[in-house]
Amino acid sequence: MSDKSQKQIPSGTWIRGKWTGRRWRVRGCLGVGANGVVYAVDRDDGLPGAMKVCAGAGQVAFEWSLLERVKGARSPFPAPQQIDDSDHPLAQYFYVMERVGGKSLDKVWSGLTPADRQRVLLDIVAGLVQLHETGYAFCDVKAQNILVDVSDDMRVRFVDAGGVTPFGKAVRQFTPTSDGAFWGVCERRACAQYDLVGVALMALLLDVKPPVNLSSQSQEQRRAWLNKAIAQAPGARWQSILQKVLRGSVTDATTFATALHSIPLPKDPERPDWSAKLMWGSLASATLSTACAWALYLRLI
Amino acid sequence: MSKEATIRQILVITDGCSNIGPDPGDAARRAYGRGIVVNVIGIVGDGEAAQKGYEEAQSIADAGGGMCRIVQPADISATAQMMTHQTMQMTLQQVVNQELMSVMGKTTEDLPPTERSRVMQVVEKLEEEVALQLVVALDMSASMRDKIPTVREAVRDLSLSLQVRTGSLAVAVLSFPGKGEEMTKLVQPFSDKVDVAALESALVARGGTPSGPAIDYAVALIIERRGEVAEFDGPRRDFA
Repeated sequence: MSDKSQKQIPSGTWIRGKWTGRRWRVRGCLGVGANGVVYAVDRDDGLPGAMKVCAGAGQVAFEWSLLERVKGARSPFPAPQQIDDSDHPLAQYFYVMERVGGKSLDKVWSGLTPADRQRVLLDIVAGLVQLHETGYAFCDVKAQNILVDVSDDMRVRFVDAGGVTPFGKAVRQFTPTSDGAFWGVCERRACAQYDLVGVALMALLLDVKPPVNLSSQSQEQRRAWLNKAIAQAPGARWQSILQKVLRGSVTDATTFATALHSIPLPKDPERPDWSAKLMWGSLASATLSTACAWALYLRLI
Repeated sequence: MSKEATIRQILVITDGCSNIGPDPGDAARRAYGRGIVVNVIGIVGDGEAAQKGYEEAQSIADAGGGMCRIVQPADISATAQMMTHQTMQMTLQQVVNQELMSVMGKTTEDLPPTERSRVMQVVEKLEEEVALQLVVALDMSASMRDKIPTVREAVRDLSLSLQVRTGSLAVAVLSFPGKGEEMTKLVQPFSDKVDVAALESALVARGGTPSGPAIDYAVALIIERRGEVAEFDGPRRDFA
């Protein structure tokens, strides 16, 4: 089991795969999770990737198999590239996947306009539509596991496939605040609805902070708080969608997406346009200097 | 593997040092010797006593073949679920490793990584289907008083995770110390879910911390039940 203070592989280190003979150069650490460390790497032929290193061979093989099962051209998850072992003591067992750009949703949310937030939510739900077609649920829906590429039209990708579970099976990995069972809203069983409830809870809690004593509250108290929180969510249409999802009447991602589409995109607030200001400014100064020149010429001053 | 294959675990949730009865590390070792894994969740405290508490929690988990995590009260719930899952996976992986060893003379690590994935898919399937017997042992010493609601919700929450598995669940809850002179108290006998009403009324914080006797009692409960469910222990003494 890893702990956060564990040693990390220094940048510039080459990791050589025992089974494939391929080599990867470590560029830096992307993050430390509950069960391993993710590094930015470049393969010997220049292909960029993200290397996940876990303490046990089992965990690496398991996550790899999940990525393999949900892969596809439009998969919201990073595409798997290679699984291998190495002699490096800090990368004995690892796999390499596509390196996904962007920042996690919790970091970008406060800087997004209402329209961008809606686009991002739509993209998340569209990702779930894709995933659910494979018969798997994401389960560990949380803002930290969703990357938004602000520079690439708000493109949304999911990271950490560790919670991915076949429909109908018990959820293994989740985050309490986005877990419907924690709030007494649904069962802790992998299904499309479980993910949709997760997205609704996540989105709601990005706008409304949960109470600090949440963990000592009973399910009834938690549900009561949810109802109050929904009333604080922005927009009546969005509130009604949240209500429907959290009451369990939205059971597939396509329905959720259609409902989101029906909300008219809020107009982004007018951004101050510096080019217009510059134009008027230059025009004014040109007029002024012309007037002064005429005045001087006519000896008025 | 027979349908009756069962994983047996004890989960101790405590905030301090044992101070009554036999050494909890020895008790955990006895449990592990009988094929029962002991996991410990230590609740964060401060000061010198806390440091000793952490060391003891770790030593119980080491002796009991389980995991130990020191967490804030708010994180008990997620930690309990994660530990149960990971230690079940560990136990099953050991079983699968033994099988691989006896059939092929190889461990999972000796296989090429892509084949390991297939082994892990078997482990994943087993984890969903295997029967689980779990005794939750709750420290209800005086210092736990203000953490009771959080602990209660965490135990209820853990059962939400375990109930939806395909495999059967038998969960019992005990608290320590018990009433009067008693070291332990049975909050609920083995059942297929956590009895929230029993938890509500039974959890009262008072007195010292007899962790050792609590683990011994949990083992006794499991052994008693094993006798009850017709002796069906496989050649590997179940998943030990």
